[in-house]
Amino acid sequence: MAKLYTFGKSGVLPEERKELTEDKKIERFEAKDLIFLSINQHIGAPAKSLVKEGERVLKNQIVASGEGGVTSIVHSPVSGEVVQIKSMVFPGEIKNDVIVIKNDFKNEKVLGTEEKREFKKDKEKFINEIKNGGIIGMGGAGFPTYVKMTPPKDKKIDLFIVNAAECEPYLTNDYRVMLEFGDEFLSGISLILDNLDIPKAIVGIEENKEHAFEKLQKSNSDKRIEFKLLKTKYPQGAEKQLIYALTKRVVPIRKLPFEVGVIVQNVSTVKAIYDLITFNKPLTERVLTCSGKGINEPKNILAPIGVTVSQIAEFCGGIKDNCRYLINGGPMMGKPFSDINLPITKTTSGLLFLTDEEVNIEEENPCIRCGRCLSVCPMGLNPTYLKEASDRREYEKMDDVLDCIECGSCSFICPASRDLASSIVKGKQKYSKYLKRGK
Amino acid sequence: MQENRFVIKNAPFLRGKEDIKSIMWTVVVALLPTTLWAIYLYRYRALTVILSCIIFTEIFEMIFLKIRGVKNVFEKAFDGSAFITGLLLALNLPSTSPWWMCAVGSFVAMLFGKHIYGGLGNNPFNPALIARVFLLLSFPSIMTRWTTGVNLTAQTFATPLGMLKTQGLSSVSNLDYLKLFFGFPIEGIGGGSIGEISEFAILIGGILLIFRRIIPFIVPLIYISTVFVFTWIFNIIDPTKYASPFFHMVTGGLFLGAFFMATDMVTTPITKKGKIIFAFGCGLITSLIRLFGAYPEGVSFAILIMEAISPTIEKFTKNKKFGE
Repeated sequence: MAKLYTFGKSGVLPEERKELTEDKKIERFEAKDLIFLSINQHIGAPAKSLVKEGERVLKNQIVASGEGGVTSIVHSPVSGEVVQIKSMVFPGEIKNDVIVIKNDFKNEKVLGTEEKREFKKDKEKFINEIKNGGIIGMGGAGFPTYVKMTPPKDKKIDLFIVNAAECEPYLTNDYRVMLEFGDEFLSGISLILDNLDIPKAIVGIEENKEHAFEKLQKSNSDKRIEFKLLKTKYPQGAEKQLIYALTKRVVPIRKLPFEVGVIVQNVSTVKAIYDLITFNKPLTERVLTCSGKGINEPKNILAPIGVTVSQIAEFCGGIKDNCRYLINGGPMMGKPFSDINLPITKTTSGLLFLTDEEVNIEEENPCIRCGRCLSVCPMGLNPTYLKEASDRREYEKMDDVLDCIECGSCSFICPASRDLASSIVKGKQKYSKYLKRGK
Repeated sequence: MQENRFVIKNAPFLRGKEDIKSIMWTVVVALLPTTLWAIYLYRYRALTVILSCIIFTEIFEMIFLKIRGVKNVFEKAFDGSAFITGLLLALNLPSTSPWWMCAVGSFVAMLFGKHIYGGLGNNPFNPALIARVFLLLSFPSIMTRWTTGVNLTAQTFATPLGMLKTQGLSSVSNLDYLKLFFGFPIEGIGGGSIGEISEFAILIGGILLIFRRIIPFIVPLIYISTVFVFTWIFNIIDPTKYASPFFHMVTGGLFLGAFFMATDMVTTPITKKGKIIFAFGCGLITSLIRLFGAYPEGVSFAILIMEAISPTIEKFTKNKKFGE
């Protein structure tokens, strides 16, 4: 038994429920007649549509692009005609423009090769390709990858960490990618180390994915890559907690990982970088886990970005009558969907169709000050105090909300079923606005 | 497919299994060894006290919930919190307490201990302790009428702590500490409150709570060790005047207070450092009252005093953030 790494005593142990899909091979889902591309799939300035209604687009063509330091680019996964640009409402009442493309099934493309291409080591070109390839963090946050790869000049990066914790229950997409695209994944890591001049990589994998850990370790030939087993605990894959678990380096409060010489990327992102650099394929598809007791055939799927929830649900045998919750992402941090006509995005790691049997959210009760939320908070915050302050807009008591990583451990553990995390997340928005207003 | 078939709730969608009810009823279970031992020793008298306190507490809980306009009165009244208050109050009373005094105590506990502040979670003081102190000050003679366990005659005796205070060290020098620890009655010695006689029974329940992660072991540990060390120091200074620290361990309400009241979630600091300071303060004040105060026992007062400054302690013991 290898040594198990972890981030300390905080965190929680939700039921893993990965058995629904962990042994299911990734199935390719081909685009149907309509594709819905949100222009705002990432953190940062939203992209703007570069195409007009009626315009013909090719596969891999850029259809939306943003301006500014932190933004991203969206490519079409199919060739066809732009039939409409409309506004759709995403969770949290966020309205985004969506480019609707009618697939002509001709698959005419502008980028992408079948043959591997040679990529000569070139840091600037590498990062630029990643920017133009529309690659963003695919673990869920959607932070543009090129920004992560360009730390300030005075920060020396000596370690690349691959986040293969996949600590969210149900999700098995990263696990399947590591099992089925292991060589591509490992080559992706090597490419990143080569081009960014990083001497070493650590792949952190949770213990419940030991199979992938062993398989990768066996097939790996790059001596710079080390594999470490993490204790199965939530939120083991939270960036700062993961860095601490693997290296004991502590990212200072409100700072980014490069402060301690680290860049972290998720498994699927590494695979996307490999596809981009090797086959010149921009990010237009991803592997996601479609699971839960509310769907007939839970599966791991390789799907084009922009296909709808209803199309995927149909591919998985349809939604069961007792399905009551639809979640984009994992059950701990995912967003609730009410509309099955919404599309998946680059950050959709999972689509969960859950029943009342699986979701046990009770009515909120008064806080009994048991202190469980304090002891599980991986950031060492006082969630019950911050919830009160956030609900009452007591700005002078709210500063710590900015340190919340929104993992939801507090709400998970609360015996009074209080929605601590969601209140604090809302408090974050309120407090940020308050700070912008200049107090 | 109809619209709005999906429920919109806030993440996380998975929640832990522990709820208020399971916590509260586990505490009740943890009090069972003590309760059963009390009933075994004091028979129908203990039973009367326990039942009166629990029934009246539940009745007043329901009345005040109703007055406050809380929904699901019945469900809320049996979340276990009022039951614990009733049971704890009973365990803090003499076996000879009349039912009407139990009723008065229950009323005070529920109104002035709990609902006047807005109910569960908002009370600054432990309701059972508020009621006990109220009764102690209002009915001092009934509240200090102790019997020797199974002795069901009207004859009453002083507790060991009482004897120490009024008759000096020599009066308690021959007591069998083991008997006191396990809670076997000693002829001619008052047993004290019905719940404080067996430290052993309290320990069993306390260990259950620690094991179930409902109370942190650090609080009873610090509280009890503080009393031990403090009384030991004075015992060393003048062994002819001050009792052995072991005497202080096995007498009075120290264990009951340390395991079941100083660990009250609502009224003690929420931070770990705060809990440690709280427990230390309780131990210090208990020792001071026992050694130098006018009352023979100081657990109730010590906990109430520390509860009063608990918000302040909490303010100064903020957790360190990750990366700070």
